[in-house]
Amino acid sequence: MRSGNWRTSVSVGVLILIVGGLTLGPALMLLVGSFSQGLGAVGAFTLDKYARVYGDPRLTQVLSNTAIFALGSAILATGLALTLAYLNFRTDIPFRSILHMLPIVSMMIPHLAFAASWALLLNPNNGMLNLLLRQLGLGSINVYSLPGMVFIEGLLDLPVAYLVIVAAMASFDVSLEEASWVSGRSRSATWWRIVLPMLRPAILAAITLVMIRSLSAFAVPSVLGLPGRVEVLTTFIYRLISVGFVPDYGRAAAVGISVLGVAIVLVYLYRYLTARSEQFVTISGKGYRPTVTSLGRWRWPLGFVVLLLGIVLIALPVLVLAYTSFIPYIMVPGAEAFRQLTLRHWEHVLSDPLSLRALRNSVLLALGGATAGIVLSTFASYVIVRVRTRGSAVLETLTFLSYSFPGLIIGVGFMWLFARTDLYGTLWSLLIGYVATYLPYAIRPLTSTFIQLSKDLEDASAVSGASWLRTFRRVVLPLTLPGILSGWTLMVVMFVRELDVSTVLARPGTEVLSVQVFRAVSDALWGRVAALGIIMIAISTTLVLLGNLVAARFNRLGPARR
Amino acid sequence: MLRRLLAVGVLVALLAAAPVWAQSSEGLVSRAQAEGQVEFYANITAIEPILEAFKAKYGVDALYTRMSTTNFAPTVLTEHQTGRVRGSVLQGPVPLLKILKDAGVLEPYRSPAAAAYPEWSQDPDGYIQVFGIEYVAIIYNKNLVAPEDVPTSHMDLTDPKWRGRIVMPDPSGHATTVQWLVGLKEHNVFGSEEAWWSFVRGLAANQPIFVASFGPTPGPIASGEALIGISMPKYIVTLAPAPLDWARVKEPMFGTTRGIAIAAGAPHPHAAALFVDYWLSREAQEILASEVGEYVLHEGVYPPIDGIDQAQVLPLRDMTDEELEYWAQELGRIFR
Amino acid sequence: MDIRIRSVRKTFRSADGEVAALRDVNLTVPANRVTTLLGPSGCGKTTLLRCIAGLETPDSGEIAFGDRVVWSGNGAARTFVPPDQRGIGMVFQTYAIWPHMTVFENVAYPLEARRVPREEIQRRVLRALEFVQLKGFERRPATALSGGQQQRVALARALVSEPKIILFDEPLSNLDAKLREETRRDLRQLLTQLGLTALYVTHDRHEALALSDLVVVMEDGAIVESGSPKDIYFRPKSRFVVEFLGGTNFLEGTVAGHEGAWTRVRTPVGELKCEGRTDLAAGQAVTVYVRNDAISAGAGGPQANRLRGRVRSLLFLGEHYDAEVVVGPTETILTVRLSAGADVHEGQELELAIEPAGCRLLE
Repeated sequence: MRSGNWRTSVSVGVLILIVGGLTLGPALMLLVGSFSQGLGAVGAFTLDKYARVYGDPRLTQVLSNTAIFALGSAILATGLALTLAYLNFRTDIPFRSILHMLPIVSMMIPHLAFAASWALLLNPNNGMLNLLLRQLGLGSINVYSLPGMVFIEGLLDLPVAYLVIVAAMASFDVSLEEASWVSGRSRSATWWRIVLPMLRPAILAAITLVMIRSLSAFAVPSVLGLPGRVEVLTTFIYRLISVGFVPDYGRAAAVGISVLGVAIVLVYLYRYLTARSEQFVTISGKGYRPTVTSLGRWRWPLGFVVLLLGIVLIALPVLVLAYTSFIPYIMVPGAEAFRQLTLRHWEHVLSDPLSLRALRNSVLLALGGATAGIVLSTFASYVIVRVRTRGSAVLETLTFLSYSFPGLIIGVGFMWLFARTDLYGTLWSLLIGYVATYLPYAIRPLTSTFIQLSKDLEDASAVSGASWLRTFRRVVLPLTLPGILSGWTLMVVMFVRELDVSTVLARPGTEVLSVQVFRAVSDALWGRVAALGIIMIAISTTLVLLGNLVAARFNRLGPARR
Repeated sequence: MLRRLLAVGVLVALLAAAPVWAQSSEGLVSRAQAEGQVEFYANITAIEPILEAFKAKYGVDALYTRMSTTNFAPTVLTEHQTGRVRGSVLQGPVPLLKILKDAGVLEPYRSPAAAAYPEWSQDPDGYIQVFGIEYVAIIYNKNLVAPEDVPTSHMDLTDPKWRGRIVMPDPSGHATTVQWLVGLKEHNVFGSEEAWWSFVRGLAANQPIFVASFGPTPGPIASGEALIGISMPKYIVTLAPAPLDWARVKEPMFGTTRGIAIAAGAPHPHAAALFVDYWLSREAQEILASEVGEYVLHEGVYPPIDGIDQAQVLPLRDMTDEELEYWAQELGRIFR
Repeated sequence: MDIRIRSVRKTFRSADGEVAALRDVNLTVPANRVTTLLGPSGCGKTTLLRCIAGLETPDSGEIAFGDRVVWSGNGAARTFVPPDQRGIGMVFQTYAIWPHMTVFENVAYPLEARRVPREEIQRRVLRALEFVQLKGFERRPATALSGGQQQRVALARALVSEPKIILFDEPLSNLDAKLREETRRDLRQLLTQLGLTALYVTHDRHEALALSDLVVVMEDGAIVESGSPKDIYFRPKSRFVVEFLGGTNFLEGTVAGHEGAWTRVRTPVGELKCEGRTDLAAGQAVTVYVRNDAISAGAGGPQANRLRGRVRSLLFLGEHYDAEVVVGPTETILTVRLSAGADVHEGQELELAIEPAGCRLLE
């Protein structure tokens, strides 16, 4: 189906229409806004907004900070994800089920709360871990710094990288590794020479995704960067829109356009680097038995080290959150804190009808949005991988459009758009905004899975007389289930936590949990933030487990998979 | 047109027989009830008790959408541009409401309840009613700061003993903080402009911990990460029993003004008018003061913070966005 | 049903440039016979097969099954019948057994796709499995089978819908030698028995010779030669085919003259009595090629073409030795097949005799 098949062209066209319809709207609105005089989306043409933004003398420093921040967190997140995914999927390391859940947990936490938890742990004045380190005579760590921001953002984006890489790792033919050992290469040499190059599409996908995400991240730069006087592009944009009473989103969009430009370059770079994707085919229909290799005497020590790291990096902030939800105000743990333990934040959150409605809406949006999103993404990523034409390249770029805009402004793009339709103020507007913005979360793990699915398996179905649809349903879907599940999980968890789009589009009746959290943050009610955060983690966990259960049922005859 | 007639009618009635209008008219209540609900776009937070009380009193639902300052104007302006107005009552910083008024998206309405407010709080054109001051103060941790160390003047914040332990919103990006700092100069709090500059430079030299807005200021003070901060006294009420107190400085306190108005083309105009009446009533303002710790202008109503009723709280002048941007840059140069 | 391929061209474009995979291929694959596409890797044989299956589309030309055109890229009337509507069976090199299905599900798949009733599917799948000697394996997960068994599942799957045309893409290349020989035999028998139009792609000359009724040799995207296995083996027309079929010594020479039914050729190892080629004039340059099984060692053998040489290396292969023998003043090396029981060692002087009928000439 390389060419000459009109059905292919039609399906690429239809997908471009759908995806473009979803993502092009807000992006165009912002683009027009950046060239328009005045404050709305539409006005007389002007270049003034660009001139003013790009003429700012601080921009150079901001850009270099941003580059270090985005690249650093992408490399950290992807490196951690690779190590964890490898240990979890290819070795007999103990505590696997815990290790598998850990990286996903950090995604479920509202980013503002996660960053604030770390500030509580590692601020230079009285961070709990710093107090401990000082007692041990080890000095202290200042989290209000560029390295600190890279570290925390890396942890926050770890799940994105992890789920993308897991999807590929799960379907990686172990004989490729074995061949290398037999060839006399050590385990570590095999890792560098075979595993990493084989996983290149997934690794690049993860880095692209995390870089774009951290380019538009706001929580960490705002909570950790401001005190440390480290300004990145998003905080720069925030200053543009927060200093006056009538924020000029056109100017913010003018900055966003260059972020978008960088993102598009990244996407094309990624496409170019994975152009010879046939090299990476690994589910081949012969000897497909992902097996586990033994770590030998390193098994338990390694297991404990990884578990400890996981707990420190991810479980600790969650514990801080849990602790915060039971104390009346933020204080260092101790006898005083214990004496003042209270249930009032929980009582308030659980009895507040608004919070309950928000909870219902969040669950609805997460389930509905992720399911709609995954259906669209599955078709789109199939086309992106299998039909490598100019049309499919356009499709791939389109999927990144909304995602690439900094979160602070994409919501306004959607508002400018939806306020012109009857969807304004409905749950549908949120659902569409969610799916459009977070498409890459499902498309990335899926494309790296599709790349690894041997075309022979589909060809065999086609010559067996199966139509394209039947082939897709009977062969492609079951074999790419790990990727589909990863994408669905990423979307569910993201939608429970989504703030950027929600904060602009939510109205009475369509409140969502994250907006409630944000309100509590602006009122400095950290106990309530923490309680809501824990509820969000619980919902995400439940939904993810549910998804895994359904997938396991659907795939009960499938190959051994964890 | 009908709404405009109604508003004019109310205005005429108010001028003609003000004392009779101490309470909202029966006609307004029944029309509001027929409309069933009112949509409230507000910048102020934690006001659910007032909405519940309103519902209990009149049986009209008040639906609250929290609008951050950054989303407020774009949303309201876009709704008007596209003819999908969803917010009936708008509450926000007065400069913001003035911009909306100039953009023609407000409906004039003089509430009979406005009589209980000072003269200066009333818009001569009858669009915006100022009801409170978002007052800024020096807040400290009363467990960690000894009574003799508590500042008695703003100038005390420049003492090197506070180095690294002051929390405040980023003065190069937070509008109210910019206004507050410039306000200290314009009200000549330090006696001279040179003294003001040395205050600003001294504060910057103390390397304050910057946060994005006032919301994140009380947390570090309560936890002890910071000892003191430029923050708001209302947190003493909302975050009780956190060990927060305000420094009784000899200079007055300042704050930006909060106002309320009705949107032109409001989906439920009568309910909106009834809601504004209720919002400005002593009953609602007492809830606002006692539960949210807000400084309100209704005569005789004070937040339950020790000594506040004795304090002088002054409204800051409204600044244009150009002025704000200029000063944010100036201050940014000094503080960064 | 025969397969008619007319002027089929296919070029692959990649970042590195264009590669012509098929250059104007014309071929009729005869009905109900086994035809092999033989050639080194990269010669275009798999591309041609995939074009026939519909998995690849040619740039131009026409492919028809009997009278039914399944692809036409000529002029305005473009035809493309998708693979699922071509009614073929195909066995892949990788087998392409779906790892998430059982053996039964894999084999039943083509019948389900053709909406065959359930009871009939049951019956036909079991029959197909019996046919490939996998009865009793129905419930196994496909991945729990050995390579040979997977290969047979793939075969059963290709046959179960009783297609008129079956395509094989190097199906035996992943099997071990013994299994490959066995399967080759079974396959030959089975294909003869079924009388299908079978097209078989391989780079293994033994497989091609053993299995087919017609061998088509391809090189660099074009057909070099085709004919029955014996014709191809004994009467190839090009040096490429001779070389590809292997085990051959080449000697450059000139025609010295004709002698009855024979032709005499001067070569570096001396004058040889070769097959009679009266069409070649004396003095003409020719290449003599001698398969290593046409050379015998020792006192026996034909009286003509006797040479002396010294054994340079020996390779014991079980049924025979492959020896390299240095012959004549020019130190020409001939590879010779010696019987496994022969008493030889490296450095030994040997007397050789070349069967005149085995000395073949190429212009």
